[in-house]
Amino acid sequence: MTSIVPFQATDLFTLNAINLDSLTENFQVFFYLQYLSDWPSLFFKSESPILFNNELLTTPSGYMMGKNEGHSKEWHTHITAVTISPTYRRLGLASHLCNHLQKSTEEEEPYYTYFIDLFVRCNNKLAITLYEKLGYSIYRRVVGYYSSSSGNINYEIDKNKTNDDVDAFDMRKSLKRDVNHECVRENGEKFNVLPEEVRF
Amino acid sequence: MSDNRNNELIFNAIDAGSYKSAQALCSKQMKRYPNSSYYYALNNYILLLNGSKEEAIRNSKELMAKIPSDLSTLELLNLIFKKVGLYNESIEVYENACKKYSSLNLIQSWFDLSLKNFDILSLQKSSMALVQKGDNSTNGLKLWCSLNLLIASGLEKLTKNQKYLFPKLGLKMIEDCKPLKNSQEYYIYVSLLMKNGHFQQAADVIKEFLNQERDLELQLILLKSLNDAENWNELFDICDSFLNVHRIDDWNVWSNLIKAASNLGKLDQTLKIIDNFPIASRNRQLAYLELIKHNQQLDHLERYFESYLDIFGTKLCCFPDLKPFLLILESEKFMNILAKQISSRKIEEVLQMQRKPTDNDLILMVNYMKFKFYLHQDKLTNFEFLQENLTYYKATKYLLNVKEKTDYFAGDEFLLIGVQIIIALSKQDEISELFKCIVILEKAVERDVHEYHLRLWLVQLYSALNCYSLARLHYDSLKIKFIQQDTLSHYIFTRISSLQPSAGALKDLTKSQAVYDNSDFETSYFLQKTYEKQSFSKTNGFLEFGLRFSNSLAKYLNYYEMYKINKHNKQTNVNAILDKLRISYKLSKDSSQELQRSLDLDEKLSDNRDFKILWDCSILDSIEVVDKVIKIGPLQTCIYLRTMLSKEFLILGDEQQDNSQIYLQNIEQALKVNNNFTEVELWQLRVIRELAIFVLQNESSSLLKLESLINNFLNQFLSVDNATTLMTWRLNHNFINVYDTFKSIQSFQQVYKKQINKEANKKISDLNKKLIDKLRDNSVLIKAKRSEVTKDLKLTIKNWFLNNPKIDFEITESFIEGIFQSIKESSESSVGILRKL
Repeated sequence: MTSIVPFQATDLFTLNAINLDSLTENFQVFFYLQYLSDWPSLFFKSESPILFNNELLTTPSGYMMGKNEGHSKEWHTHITAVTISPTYRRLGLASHLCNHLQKSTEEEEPYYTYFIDLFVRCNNKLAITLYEKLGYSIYRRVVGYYSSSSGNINYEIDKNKTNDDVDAFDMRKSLKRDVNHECVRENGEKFNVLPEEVRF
Repeated sequence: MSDNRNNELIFNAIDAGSYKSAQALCSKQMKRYPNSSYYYALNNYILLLNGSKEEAIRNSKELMAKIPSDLSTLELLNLIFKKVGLYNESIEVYENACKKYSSLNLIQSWFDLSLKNFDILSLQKSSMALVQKGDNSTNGLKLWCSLNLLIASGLEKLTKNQKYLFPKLGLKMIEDCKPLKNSQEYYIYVSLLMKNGHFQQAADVIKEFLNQERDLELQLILLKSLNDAENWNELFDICDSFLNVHRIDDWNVWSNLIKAASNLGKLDQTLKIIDNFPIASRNRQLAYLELIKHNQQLDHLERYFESYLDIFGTKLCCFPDLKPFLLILESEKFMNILAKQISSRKIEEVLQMQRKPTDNDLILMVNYMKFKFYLHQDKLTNFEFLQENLTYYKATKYLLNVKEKTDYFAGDEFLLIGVQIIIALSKQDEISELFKCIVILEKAVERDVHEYHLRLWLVQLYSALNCYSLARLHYDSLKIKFIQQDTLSHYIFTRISSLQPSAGALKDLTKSQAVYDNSDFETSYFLQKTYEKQSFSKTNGFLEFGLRFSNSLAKYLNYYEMYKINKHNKQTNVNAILDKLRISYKLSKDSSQELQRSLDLDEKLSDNRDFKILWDCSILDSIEVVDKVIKIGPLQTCIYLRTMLSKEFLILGDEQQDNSQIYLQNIEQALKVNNNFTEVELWQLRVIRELAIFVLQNESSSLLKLESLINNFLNQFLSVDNATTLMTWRLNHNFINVYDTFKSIQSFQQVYKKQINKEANKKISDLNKKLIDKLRDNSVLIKAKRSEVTKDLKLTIKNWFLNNPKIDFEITESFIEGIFQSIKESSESSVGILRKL
């Protein structure tokens, strides 16, 4: 039983079954609040009813945090986080959340973005396969993306020295508005950029 | 000296708790500026802080009657009235000023302050004033005001008149804003239509909007509005269209379709819709079962369970999905269906070790055991079922070697069921059972390092065995941070001051509490953004979140523990913590034990603690008999906090006589319903109660009762002959609480020395000496007694694991030795504290 519903600030009290997962990032409270106030329709959760101690409750089974950014042909939707509780994995829920985000942003009203993108660690083969199945392709490799997550520019990164453990693939999926598929490219894994080049 | 410098000096004195000095400095300023309302307000604030509550209120009311307009004065008066619980007055201060002076700056400040305080009624009133005075060339202010009327109309504390007026005013205001521009504006409009009972109109407006634009929030309100309008025909048609035209495969849609069908008698037609839905999705399979709930006459009931299990029996969602539907089918029939799945997947071959299991085999086996456990509750005390679970674990643990490190091994569930059985099977001697569980789970977590249920259970088990450092180790491995500190810190900090009153624990608590430092500021900042950026559908949630986080029960329980550790370590600089606790004392007044979820939380504490996560495995139910063994005393509720604070404030004696009587009453009240406290906590409360009655009410019989309490119960709490007490958290908890009682009696004698005559004082001192002597005498015996118990215990445990004819645990002697050694070191470190008492 899965429903997709808008995320509310109070849901932050209920995410333990999802966020105790070692691969799921726990952000500071303000980060979630910013997404909620700035992109209210791009932050949503999936939920399922459960019977706990004879009480029928709903429990979050996953959530999606997205945002829109960029100018002109770089106007796009970005997936910041998509994560699923261990109990509800292997059901296609992550794909379901990604598809919902796509439907919410590709139509003329209200967003009409050119593409959706996300960053994924180059060594996360499972996730890359999932995104490829959903129609995403590698647009570029962001060298040292996960070693500079503090937000400061690391001038010592060499664009030509790749490392799957700390590099990210910027994966993109072209949307309706990108009629000529100008926002995606072939062989993107060979196109290296630095973290400061992917800021909007 | 400049005024700024003088103000700074006053606030420095306030911060340092030197209220008399602050008052003297303030009086000078009042003489210098006799027409300044600010210093009068400040003087009242200092009076309040200094305990002269009535005078502060009287003066503040007089000042309010003069209708000051100075912003700082208003802010102070608002604060004073809020602190003393005069909520209406705190609003009237601004309301009157805005009416008389009608300055935009003044109203804007009121609105900003209301945002900062998550004060919904003030937000409503100030935004109304903004509409009347502000720039209405755009709809901005009207939208804000209608939103605030919408939110405020959900408050429980409204008067009858307000309840009637707010939704009407809000609707009128938003209708003035037409044409509406976006989904967020429509959100306010349709929500207000709903509040006014115009359900069908709300549905019609949303349908029109959704023709132009997708919006999840409005889509959900549409379903609710048709439900509330009881327009089952339209609800049925809309759901049908969502499913079959728009392919929205969502449980909210399916369940509403079935509800509408049930009201229309269209269940057969609905069955066809489900049959014809092109994807055999989880929602669709469960829709059959939901349909049966509404029409149990449907044939082939078992077939629908079978078809769900065919696809989802090998998924972990199977158990939580089917659990709510198990009432519609006899347990035996369901288990037979499941057994067929087990048979068709040839699980017997896995159990016989004839072939390696697959992930699907494993999950089906896990689901099978969970259903068996859930449907046959007698399995909880069935040793054979424990054996069966361990056999299943052994048969599938090969998959541990082939899984990704960050993946979870579903077979850990067999062990979690197993430890619950072990604990439930224990009778008197629960210690050895706790040890057994730790050995099993430590082995499991060594193989599956990221499984957080295992870690949480180990945190509980180690805490129960008085091993704070080991509990801490597993707790830290979970990397709990930010908001999780509010919901999960109770797993490590419950009653910590009576278990580990150390500098280390205090440091851990201080670090954890940092999450609250900027939370109010951050939340109110983004709350403001929801108005500015028109994210109206989030505003209500931000307000509730702000209130729940700010008034968190866990936050104040942790401050209480910090206060107690500071007190234990003779730290005198506890004013800042005491101030926070005084706030929580006031908030605890109206808080029930229930989890609070309403917007009326501005005057209540909110329990955000997550107790469910520990039981978010196995059969998704907390098992009382197990819970009782592993938890650190009864649940600490608002009543617990209020009672304990009453006791501490009584001992501090820094309040007026009236307050002392109230504190005493709170204790009396709590002692009548005493399920919040451990036995030693109850004993301590009774001791303090008798002392207080003796001193405050001059009741001489209380001294006799005190004597009897100390003589009769002391042996019970300081016994070192009971293994369960000696080896568990209860040892530290009892000894440290008795020590705290000793110190409290001393403080009591000191604070109330004028009210206690010499003879009585001597008697109390003699009793207290008896108490500390006994405590110190028994402390000396602990080490030897524990050593005896441990020796026997180790033999029992080793024998159970290594020579068990019925179960092969595959656990080596050296592994058990290692666990014993670490438990010994950790618990000795905890017990070492007792020698310093």
